[in-house]
Amino acid sequence: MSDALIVHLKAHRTAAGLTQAALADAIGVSRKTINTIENGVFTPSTRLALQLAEELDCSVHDLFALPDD
Amino acid sequence: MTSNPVSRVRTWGSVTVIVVTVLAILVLTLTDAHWVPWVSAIVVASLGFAAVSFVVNLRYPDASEAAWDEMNQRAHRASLAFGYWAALTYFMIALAAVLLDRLDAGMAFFWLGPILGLAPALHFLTSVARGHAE
Repeated sequence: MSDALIVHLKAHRTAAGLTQAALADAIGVSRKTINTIENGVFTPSTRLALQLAEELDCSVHDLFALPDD
Repeated sequence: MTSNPVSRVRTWGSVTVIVVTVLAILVLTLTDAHWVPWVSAIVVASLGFAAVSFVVNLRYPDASEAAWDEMNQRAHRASLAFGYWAALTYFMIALAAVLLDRLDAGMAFFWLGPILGLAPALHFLTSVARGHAE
């Protein structure tokens, strides 16, 4: 199984009307971290994934999904 | 370039330490220059970097939190692991050189310091350049 995640963070962030910098400031990480998560370069910890979900008022499953195969 | 002051200091501090160390290695390897000024330059650059980092981290706590978030901590840990392997590799090469009488044991030990300082900084800057750290 591929270790790549399907990431829907950008869609939820833009729907919430937040820039990468605003979301980063809200949860205390760098803008680059948000950027790398959205691009699939960096996989966040469970804690950070939960913080993102809480800030965007959705579940972690809405933000990240495993690939089918 | 990031607007985070802590990240900026970390990046430019790493660049400074790398440039000064590489310059010192080149000059001391290729010329008969006395080692004291060059070693002093490495020490001053490293301590200056540490001091400025300390002050900036205290001065900007929010920026410090973002600059040391989990992505940057992961890159930092990877750079320290790289430093370990670089030092181990250097040790084996230097050991062979000492046993073959190609290098003085004191000098071999001396260069371990710059290698230990240089390798992690170089690895972290590579992570920044690859977009895996800020």
